[in-house]
Parts: sequence; C-alpha cells; structure tokens
Amino acid sequence: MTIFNLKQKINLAKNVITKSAPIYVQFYITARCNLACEQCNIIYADAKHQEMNIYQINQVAENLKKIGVGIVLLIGGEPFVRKDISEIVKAFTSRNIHVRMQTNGVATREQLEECVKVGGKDISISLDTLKPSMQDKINGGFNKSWEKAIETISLVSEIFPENSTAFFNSVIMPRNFNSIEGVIKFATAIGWGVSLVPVHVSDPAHPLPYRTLDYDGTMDFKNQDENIVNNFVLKLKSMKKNYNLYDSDEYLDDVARFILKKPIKWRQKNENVCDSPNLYFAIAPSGLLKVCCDYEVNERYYIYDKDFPKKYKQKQVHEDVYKITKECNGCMYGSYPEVTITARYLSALTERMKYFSFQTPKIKKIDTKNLQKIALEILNEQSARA
Amino acid sequence: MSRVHALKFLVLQTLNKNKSKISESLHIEIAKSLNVKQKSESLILSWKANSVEKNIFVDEKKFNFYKRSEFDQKSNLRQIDDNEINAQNLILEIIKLSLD
Repeated sequence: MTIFNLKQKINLAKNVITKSAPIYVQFYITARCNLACEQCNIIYADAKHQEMNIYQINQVAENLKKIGVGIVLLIGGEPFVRKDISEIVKAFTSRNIHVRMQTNGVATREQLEECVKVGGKDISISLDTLKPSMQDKINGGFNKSWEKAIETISLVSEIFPENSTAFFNSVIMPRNFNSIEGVIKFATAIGWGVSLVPVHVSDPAHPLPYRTLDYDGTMDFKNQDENIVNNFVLKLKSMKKNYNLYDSDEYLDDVARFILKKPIKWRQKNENVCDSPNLYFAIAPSGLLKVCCDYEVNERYYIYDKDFPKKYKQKQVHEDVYKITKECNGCMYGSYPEVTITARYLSALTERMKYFSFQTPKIKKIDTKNLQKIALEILNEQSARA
Repeated sequence: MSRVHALKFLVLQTLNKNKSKISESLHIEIAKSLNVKQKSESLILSWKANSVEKNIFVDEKKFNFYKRSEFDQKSNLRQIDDNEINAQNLILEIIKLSLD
C-alpha cells in the first residue's frame, strides 16, 4: 500500500537528489478559522491578504506543476471554512501533485466525501491531548472542540479509501507536555500517525507570523529541567519502534534543543541555512510567495503569475529568498526540518521510504463512541501509572 | 478570527520594520505596551512611550482583513499594498506621537 503513485515517487526521488525543485509547498489558502488556538498567530498575521479565487488557485497549481512540486499541504486558518475546498484539492490532484489536507476537525462529511472523490487521501488533524477540557482551552475556549475533532477522525476512517494516510499534528506546549505520549498511543491504536511541533513564541518587538505572542505568558518553555526534556525525547525515540510516531531521530533531538533554548542542528549540512526555496516554500492566501510560514520576500512574487515558473527556474526567486534564510536562526516547524533531514540524512531517507512503501499505518474504521472509549482507556492507564 | 489581533500584529510588524527611526528601548517599550481595542466604528491603539500613555484612533475602514474571494470570484490585488501602506502611515504617526 502506498499513498504516492509511480510518477509522484519518481518526481519526489528526483527532487531529493537534485534539490532543485520543491518536494513540499505549504499553501495557506485562508486566514479564516473557526477556532483561536493559543499557540497560533497565523490567523492574525495572514488576515491582511485577500484570498485567491479558484481561477487563480488553478494557475498556482499549473505553475507548481511546471516547476516540479511533489506535495502541497493545504493549510490555513482552517482550510475547510472555504466552501470550494474540494475544487482546490482537485486543482492539484488533477495535475498529479499529492495533496495533504489539514483541519482542526470542522470538516463535514460532505466536504470530506467531495475531497476523496477528487483524489484527496492524505489528511492531518490537529490533536494536542486526549483530555477534552484541555483541548478546548488550547483551542481558545471553544466548547466541544475535542469532541468535534473525534467526530471528524471517525468520518475520515469511514470515508477515506484504503490507500490513505492520516496524521495527528500535535503541538508540544508546557500545558500538554505530559499528554503527548497519550496522543501517540491513541494514534497507533486507530491506525493514524503523529508528527510533533514544539510551540514557537515571538517577542512583540520582533513578531513573526507563525509564532504566538504568548498573551498570558503560559506558552513559552521557561527554565525547563534538562533531564526531563532529554528523557521526554528519549522516550519518544524509543516509542518509534512500536508506535506510529513519524518524526525522525534527528528532528526529535532538535525538539529537545529547541525547548531548552539551545541551537538546533538540522541545517548544519547546508551551512546552517534551510532549503527554501529549493526544497520547500510557502504561499500566502493572496498567492504571494513566502520563504516559509514566517518570512515574506522583499520582492513580490505571485505564484499564479505566468512568469513565475521562469523566474523560479532562472533562480531569480532564489536570490531574494537567500537574503532572508541566511539571516534566520532556524525553526522547528515540522515539515521544513523534516524535508531537509530526509533529503540530507541517509538514515532518515531510508526510514521515510520504508514508512511510505511498506509501513504506512492502515486507518481503522472506528465510530465516535469507540474512539472516545479508546482515548479514555489510555488516559486511565496513564493515571494508574502516575 | 479577530480584526483587533490582526491589526495589532500588522502594527507590531510594521513597527519592527521602522525600528531604525527610534531608539531600541523606545521600540521595545512601544511593542510591549501596544494594545488595540474596538470602539464602535473605530479601533483605538494605546501604548507607552517614555512611561507616558499615548493613544490614537484608527478608522477601521482603512484596513481590510479576512477578505474572501470564493463566492464573487473577485480579487483585489491592491489589498495587501493598501494594508501595508496604511500600517506604515500609522506607525509614522505613532513614532511622531512617541517622540513628542
């Protein structure tokens, strides 16, 4: 079972080897969201952009195909607040670009069915804890947001085809530090994977779009005990043998460094700069090229512009992006580090190839009631151990 | 979604772009004390400069946030420029008031 077809695999392999076309593009299709998660600032930072219409998005897809993009992540805001989400998915799948959809759980049955009809088979749902009240708090105080996510998990398991993959995207924060293990166990029990991102906080004097401004001072890891953090990461690494934790060892080691405010190392094989725009970049809701979720480029490049592929292939875009990347201290935004690690570390590449060729978890069909029961059993087991 | 938070972020980001126009300590003081409140049709920005409370009214219509294109299929290519130009003008005003 594999989620990539042969042409996509060849294209991804070519991009890994040549590092001259993006493996992965993060496309922020909207800044609108039904929640206001405390670790998220992008819904405010991207509010200044007017969203593209579907005609422009088709132009974006055409241009991404021309430059050889392998995977597009549709992210927001909440992507499923756009009524034309399935048309957006189709814009990419019809051009043989693999699409991962992200949602906080607001996606409806009809939307998911439409997305599957047009070739969507890869989805990621935000889940940071198995405790409903904690998730509601993290999500900005919205009641029953955890239950809504569980309903959507059940819908995905029912609707998505057999060769699909589904992930939980979990942010590690002081609040849910002790909940992460439970999320990984839950994912494994139901045939989903997990990838982790440590919370990013920015100083109001130097604000960055994706990083929370930490309004009440509870988001940042402060004076963490080094042993606790190192043991946490050791535990995560050991769990990879039996549980569906997707992250590479190199990435997890950097998670510990990042939480402990130490320099991260995933960029060291590329002179301490990331691989934007060679292996990845981001797109704002207006279609503007971004280095990543945090940085815009001084020169404005609209991805739907008919000249964009030419500007990209002639590396005109690259020079402007490098001005930003060489000054950046780095991030731990999951996908960017993981793509670089996969392309530059043989052990991680081998791990990924195995994962997507032979070890992709098979999504289990489980109804909402039983999902809640599994979550509760894991919580009870953890409480008993504690 | 919050237009108040959206404006606050845009102002903080624009302030950072203009930090060379003021001292580092004043930049940090303004950034850390900046607050945005909605009052009927207007937004009120307040901050501290040299420990003195300052504020300014902002016409909400000058900023366009969360504009969608999915229904009418119209797209305003000027929106991001308009928002950033208006934010730049606002920051110049804030700096002027802070230095007074």
